[in-house]
Amino acid sequence: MISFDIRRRSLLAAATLAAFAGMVGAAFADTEIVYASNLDPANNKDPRVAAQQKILQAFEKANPGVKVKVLVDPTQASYLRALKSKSASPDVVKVIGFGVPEYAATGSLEPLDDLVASEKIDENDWLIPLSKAKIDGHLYGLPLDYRIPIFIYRKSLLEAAGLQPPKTWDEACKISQTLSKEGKIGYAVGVGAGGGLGGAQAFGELMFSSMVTEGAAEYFDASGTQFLVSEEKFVRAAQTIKDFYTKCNVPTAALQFGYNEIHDGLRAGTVASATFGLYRFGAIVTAGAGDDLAWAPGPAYEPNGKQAVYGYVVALNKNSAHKDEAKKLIAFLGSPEAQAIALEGGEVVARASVYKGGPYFETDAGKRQAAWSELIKERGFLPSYPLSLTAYNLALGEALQRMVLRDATPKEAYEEVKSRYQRAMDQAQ
Amino acid sequence: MNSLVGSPPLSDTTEHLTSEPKPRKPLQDQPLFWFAPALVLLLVVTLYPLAYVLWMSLQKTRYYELAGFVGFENYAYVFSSREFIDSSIASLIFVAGSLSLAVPIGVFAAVVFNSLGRYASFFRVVTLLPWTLSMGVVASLWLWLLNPSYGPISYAMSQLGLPQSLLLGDPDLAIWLLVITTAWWSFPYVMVMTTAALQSVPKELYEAVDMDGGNSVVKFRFVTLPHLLPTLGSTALNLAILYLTIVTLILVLTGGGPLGATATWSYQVFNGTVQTVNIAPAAVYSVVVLVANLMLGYIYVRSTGRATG
Repeated sequence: MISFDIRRRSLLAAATLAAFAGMVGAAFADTEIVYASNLDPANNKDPRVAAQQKILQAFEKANPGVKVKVLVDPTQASYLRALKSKSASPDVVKVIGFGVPEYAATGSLEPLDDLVASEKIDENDWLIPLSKAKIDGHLYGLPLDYRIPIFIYRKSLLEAAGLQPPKTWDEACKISQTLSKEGKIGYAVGVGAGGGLGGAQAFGELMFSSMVTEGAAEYFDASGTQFLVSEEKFVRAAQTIKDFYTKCNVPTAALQFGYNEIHDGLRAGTVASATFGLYRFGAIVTAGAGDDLAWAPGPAYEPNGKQAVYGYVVALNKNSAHKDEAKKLIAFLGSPEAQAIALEGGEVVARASVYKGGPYFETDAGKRQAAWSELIKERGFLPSYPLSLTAYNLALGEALQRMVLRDATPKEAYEEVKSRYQRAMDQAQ
Repeated sequence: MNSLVGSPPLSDTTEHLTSEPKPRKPLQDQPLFWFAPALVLLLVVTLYPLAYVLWMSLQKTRYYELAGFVGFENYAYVFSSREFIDSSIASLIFVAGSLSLAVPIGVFAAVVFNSLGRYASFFRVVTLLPWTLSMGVVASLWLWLLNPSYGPISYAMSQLGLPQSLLLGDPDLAIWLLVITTAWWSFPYVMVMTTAALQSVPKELYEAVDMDGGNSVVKFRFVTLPHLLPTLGSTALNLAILYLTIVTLILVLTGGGPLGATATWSYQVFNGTVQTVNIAPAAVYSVVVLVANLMLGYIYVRSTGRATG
């Protein structure tokens, strides 16, 4: 019979050995970095997810000892709040470009200028040069993809009316006048909040930012706190929107449309056309619109006018505990190798050299992406975004809705947007 | 020689004259010892956040950081803004309107079902369904019902020859549609509480009214209602507090619009905390909601004190 004393000593020895083994194991364990993305690895219907997984596997293979854990948040709201509250996780975040000024201003993001230099990243091998993506002279996010507003429409409806895709806002008005009847919306101009982070986000992103800047005029100052759009340009754009409702037959019910409602309308055919995001085209085709869905370059005041471009960037959390590994991931995500994989997942990737031809560009999707990339190079520009996009979109949405619902003037709308945004900035700074 | 030997024992009345202190109860025999963990937990999850929000409301904030004590500047900023007036009106209409619909409908349903005998259970279960749905589901359902382009309500209105309406897109109508949606979702709660209270009404009182020749209205007014009042009071208070804190229903149904018409105080807290990240004014709105809830509680305590005499 083993005495109690021997049993106790055996237990103690086993516990010590286990603790030692744990410490040694921890020392040699892989480094895990958290990558926050809007793409859910569990969604096996989204080709972008498959591309993301392939990219991360390739990264882990090239970097033994580093594991990537994907933190999913389709709306980005949770992990961006974590950034703003100085959390150490996630290490790498995929952020929509127009949110970068806010996160940079809160000190949440580490500048990537050193990374670009050390990895010898070609600053011109992008659909829009990297220099244009800097804020106050610093690069806070490496572009992953770009989106430019396009005119998406139901072919059968336009063809039946003998209409062509519009090149100008006047032509878009004609489409609306002709097709808005019997429960259909000829051209949806939504100023609602559906599907966004707050306020008229879809409207601001896809229409208004292009209308008031036309690629040349300033939108916001470098700090994102000053609204720089001139009264003249704002009033012209606001009047155009008001005319859509008062002269072009856009039903007032469309005023509350946001991303979701326009998406559903194009899918179901109750919306004949809209200026919408190219990243939605494939999803609307798959969801029911099928071959009847087509696209054309978006309308502007002049044919081939400039369009505001948005897109996802990948950024480094300033409070990350694994910055070296995180930087490797960022550099890899922006590399031609990873971008080529992302391209075949359906994104209009940001790297220009990826579009040099190949079997993929013989497919319909490939041809579409190549055409969109040319559109971005030819007509796209990066506006200077507001510091608080939600505060701006809230003010913009309410001002323009008041203009339509309460017959306010475009000038009053301008005053309201300017003063409300300024008030929000004074309070938050 | 022991002077106490043979002496009669000291009586109880003389025990207090001894100089020896009463022995203390062991710690584990003191009630507070056993309540302490629950009390600590309660303090941590209620008083600490409350104190922190009060502190935040007196600070200037920059995103999630406190940037310096500013006294009541945030209160002055909020109370002098147009948004506060609009939110106050929206909150008042929302709470009072929803209560005005949910309570009478709930009472009516309870009284009617109570008279249905063995079929009562079936109707109660079916009527309870809205209350079992999450606010997100309720809002999504009504968003479809009230869609001005293809919703069934809009269609029915057109078939009846009624003028087309923007429904949730109409700033003057949206708050009332929100009230109807909320009342639809919450009246089953009133029905359940009222049903329980109805079981305690003495049957002899109804028999007495019958003997005096009283009808159903008299029975309800002089027998049922007085017995229901305490229950209805607590139910209405619970619902009022719930309505004041609702965000999900408003967020999904209207997003606080159109033109801020449905942005209640609690919605402003959500907006300031999550959307625009303007924490200090959001903290002020939180304090306003707290004060409103405390006032509702006080009114209830005072009024039920009078009712029970």
